[in-house]
Amino acid sequence: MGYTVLVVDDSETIRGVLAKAFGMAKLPMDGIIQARDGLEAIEVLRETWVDIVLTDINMPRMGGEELVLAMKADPAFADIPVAVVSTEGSQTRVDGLRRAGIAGYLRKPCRPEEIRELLHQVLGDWK
Amino acid sequence: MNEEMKQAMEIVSIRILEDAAFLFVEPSEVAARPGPDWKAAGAELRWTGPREGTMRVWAEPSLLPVLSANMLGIEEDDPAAASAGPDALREILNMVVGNCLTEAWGPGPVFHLSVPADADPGLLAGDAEEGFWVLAEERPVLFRCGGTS
Repeated sequence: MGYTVLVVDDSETIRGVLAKAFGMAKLPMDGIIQARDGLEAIEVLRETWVDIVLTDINMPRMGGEELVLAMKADPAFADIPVAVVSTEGSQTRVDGLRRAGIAGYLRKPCRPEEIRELLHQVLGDWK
Repeated sequence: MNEEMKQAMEIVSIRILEDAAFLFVEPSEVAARPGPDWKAAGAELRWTGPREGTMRVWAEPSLLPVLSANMLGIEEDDPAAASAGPDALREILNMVVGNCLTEAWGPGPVFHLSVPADADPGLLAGDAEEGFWVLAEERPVLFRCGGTS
């Protein structure tokens, strides 16, 4: 049994890069679901169980910070780990996201082994 | 252009093109730059916060499928590479700006970045005069940062 990952990024290229990285990292995967912004991600979460959410910050309609806050405020989603993968380099913002409850943070551009390490850090031992 | 941002852009733009898109990149000699009739693909991103500004990137259109193919790990002639090219250019700009802001101003300030968008072709001529040129896989790429207060 593998993981189901929700990747939230408005860039189709980055969604593809992350999906490819999961394959290169040899993660046990059941599925990779993609959403283009926070609102789409919330719709997915209402319909589908996911093990982890990887989200960008800077997106149209609903950005990553709003998505994190919305998830942590909703008992149905509050326990789903969220990791941020973003170009953002502000430690002030990252600290704020950590206080809001994110489980990990990775800065773009990132290598497949860094993504594997992030998922290992968040999810623990592979299923 | 603010000197800190200019220096950051010249360092970070090359690093991002190399690290994110696996391109061979070198600063461009004046003689290698295209003429005024250059038809480039462009993207633009604005930021606000303690300092405000805009950065644009312009690239030879034939470079876009190379960018996306390298980032996605697919062949350049894959139809997906052609369709993802403009998005790949916008994402490269997003990474350059995000990393430049930290390089220039450190990890403390919080900036708000716009969603990258296609650039107005009418701005290319002015950017060509003042921007930073590189050659990526021997094709011209131009970065221009402006308005930083």
